[in-house]
Amino acid sequence: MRSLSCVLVREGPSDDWFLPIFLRRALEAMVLESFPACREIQEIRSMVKAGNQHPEPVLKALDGERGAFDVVLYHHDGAPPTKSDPVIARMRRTWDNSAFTEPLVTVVPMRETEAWILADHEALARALSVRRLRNGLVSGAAVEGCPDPKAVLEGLLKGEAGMNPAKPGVVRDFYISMAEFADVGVLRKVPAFQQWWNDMIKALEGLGYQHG
Amino acid sequence: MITRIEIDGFKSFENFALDVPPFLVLIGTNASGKSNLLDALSFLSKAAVQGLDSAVAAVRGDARGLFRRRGEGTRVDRMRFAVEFLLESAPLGLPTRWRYELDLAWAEPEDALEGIVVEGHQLVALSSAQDRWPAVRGMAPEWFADGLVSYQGGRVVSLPIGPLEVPSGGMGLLHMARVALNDRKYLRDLTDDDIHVLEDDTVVRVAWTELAQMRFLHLEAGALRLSSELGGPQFMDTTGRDLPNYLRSLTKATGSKERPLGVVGEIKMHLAGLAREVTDFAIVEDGHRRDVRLEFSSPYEQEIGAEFASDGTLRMLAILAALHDRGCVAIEEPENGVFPERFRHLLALTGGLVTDMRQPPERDALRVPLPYRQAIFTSHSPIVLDEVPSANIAFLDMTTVLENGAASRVSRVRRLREDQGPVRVEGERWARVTESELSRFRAGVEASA
Ligand SMILES: Nc1ncnc2c1ncn2[C@@H]1O[C@H](COP(=O)(O)OP(=O)(O)OP(=O)(O)O)[C@@H](O)[C@H]1O
Ligand SMILES: [Mg+2]
Repeated sequence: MRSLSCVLVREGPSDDWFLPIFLRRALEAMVLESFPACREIQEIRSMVKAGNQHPEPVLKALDGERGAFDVVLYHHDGAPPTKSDPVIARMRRTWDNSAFTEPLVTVVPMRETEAWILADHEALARALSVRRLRNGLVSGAAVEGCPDPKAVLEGLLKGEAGMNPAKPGVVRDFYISMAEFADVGVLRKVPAFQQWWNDMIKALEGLGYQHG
Repeated sequence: MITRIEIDGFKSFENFALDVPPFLVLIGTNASGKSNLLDALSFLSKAAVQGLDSAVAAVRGDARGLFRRRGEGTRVDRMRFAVEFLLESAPLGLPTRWRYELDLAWAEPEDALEGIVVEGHQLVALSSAQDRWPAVRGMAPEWFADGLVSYQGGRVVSLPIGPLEVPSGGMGLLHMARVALNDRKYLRDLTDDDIHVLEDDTVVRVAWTELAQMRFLHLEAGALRLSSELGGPQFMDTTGRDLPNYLRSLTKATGSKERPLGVVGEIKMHLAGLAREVTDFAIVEDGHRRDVRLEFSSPYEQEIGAEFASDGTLRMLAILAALHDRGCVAIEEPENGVFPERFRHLLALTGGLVTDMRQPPERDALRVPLPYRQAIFTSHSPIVLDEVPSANIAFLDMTTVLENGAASRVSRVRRLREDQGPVRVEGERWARVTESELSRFRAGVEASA
C-alpha cells in the first residue's frame, strides 16, 4: 500500500480544529522517518456524526465509509481514567469482534487535546503573534500535569494577545494555527502523544508497510 | 457607527428608510437595490468628505443618471439623504447621537454648467425620544451610564453651503462648511455665548471623521495581487488595490512592543482558520524596488508571492483586514469564490468582530472603549439565513408605486419575521418577510400543479 487514508472519530467539535491537521502532519513525519514505501498521506477525515461514547453509531458511520479508509483513529480524552478506560475498552472489544479488518488506533491525551496544544511554546508565540510568552507556563512533558489546559489557552489569548476567546472563531482559528505550527518533535516528548506514535507505527506495520 | 439611513430620489429609492445594526446583511433578488444602497452610502460619505465630483465618480452612473427615473420616463430633480450615527468621540461633553441631512438638486443655471447643487445640509442632535435605535435594536444600559450614548434634543448645527469662491467639486461638503464656520468665527470677537461656535466646529469635525472612516469593497482578484509602492496610498481602494500597504498601516497603527503586529496578528490567525492552505504571510518591504509585497507561506511552501496565492485566500485576507479596522465597511458579495463552509465561518467571525451594543461597551486595558466596528454585506448566499440572526438581515425587492398616472418600480426593504414573531410590526411600512418567501432565496421553488 502506498497511500494512507485515516478517518477520525473524535470527542467534540473543537477536536476537529486541531487533531485532523496535526495528526496528518505527525503521520507525514512518521512516514518520512520510518516507512519510505508509503508515498502519500491523505487528509484525515473526521466522522462528525459518529459520536464517540457508544460503539454502535461509530460502526454505523464507518459502515458508510467502507473501503475509503485504512486506519481508524479513535480519540477519547483520558481523564478521569475510571470513566474513560471502560469506554475505550468497550470500543476496542466491539471493533475487534466486528467485520471490519482495518486497525483502530486510540488517540488518548492524558486529560484533553488542549494539553497537546500547550506543549510547543515557540509555536504558541507565533500563533499569538507575540514576542515571547510569559514565564512560568507549563511546557513539554509537563503539560499532562496541567489541571485545566483549556483555561490556560484562553488565558493566553486574553492576556498575551488581547483577544477575546468568547468571540466566535477566536479559539477555533487559534487551535487551527497551532495544529499547523506545533512541532511534532516537541509533542513526542509528551508521553500520551508518544504512546499514539508507537501504536500508529504498530498499526502501519500490521498493514504491511515496510520499514526503511 | 451608522444607525439609520434614509434615501429619497437617488436611483431606485423613494422614501426609503432602514435602521442599520452593527452587522447587516442585505439579501434579495437581482436588481432589487442592494448595490444601489451601498452606492447611496458611498455617494453620501464621499460628498461630505471629498466633494460632489468625487461622489459621482465613486458610484455607478453619471450625475443626472443618479436621480430616480419615474415610470413615465422623467427624472426627479431632488435627492434627499439622511444618516444617523453614534459618534465615537465627542469631546467637551457634546451629545453623541447625531443625524446628518443633505438635500441635493439638479440645476441648469444660465451662467454655469449644469450639475448637482447643494440645497442645504445640517447636523441635528437626536433627542432620546427621537432615537429609535435602543428600542429597535437593543442597547445595554452601560452605554448610557458611561456617557457613550447621549442626547441633546433640539440642537441643530446648520451648515453653510460653503464659500462660493471655492469650486464645489474640490472639497468635501463638511469640510467646506467648516471653512465657512471658521470664517465667521474669526470675523468677530468671541464672547462666552460663542462657545457653541467652537462646539459646532467640533461636531462637524467628528461627523466628518465618522463618514471618512466608511469603506466600500467590491474586490477584484487582479487588484488584490498588485504590490504597493512605498509612500503610496495607505488604504486599499474599492477593488482591494494596495492591500499590502493597508496591512502595513494597520500594523503601525495597532502594534506594540510586545505585540509588534497588533491586529495584523489576529488577521493572520483567522486567515489560517479560513484559508487553511496558507498559514502565514509576511509583508515584505523592498527598499531597492521601493515596493511592498505580500508573501504567503505554509508548513509545505515558503515565499508564495501574491501572484501565486489563490483568489479566495487574497479575498479572505482583504475582508479580514477591513473587518479589523475601525469604522464601517460595506462589502459586496463577500462569498464570491469562497468555499461555503469558510463563508459560514466568516459570517460568524464578523458577528463577533463588530461592536455589539446589546452588550456593555468593550474596553482596552486602560479602560478606553475599543474603536467601533461595523459591517454591511450584500449576499446571495443561502448560508446567510442559517448563520446570521434574522434581526441582522434586510430583504430588498421591488415594489410598484403609482405617480403622475404611471407605474414606477422602486426598492423596498423589509426585515425578516422572527421565529414565531409578528408579521406586522408597528412603525414598519411593510409586513415582514415570511418563510415562504425565503424559500425562494434558499433554492428557488417551482409552483407544483
Ligand atoms: N436612477 C435610477 N432610477 C430608477 N432605477 C434605477 C436608477 N438607477 C438604477 N436603477 C435600477 O436599480 C437596479 C439595479 O439595482 P442594484 O444594482 O442595486 O441591484 P442589486 O440588488 O445589487 O442586484 P445584484 O444582486 O444583481 O447585484 C436596476 O434595475 C436599475 O434599473
Ligand atoms: Mg449588486
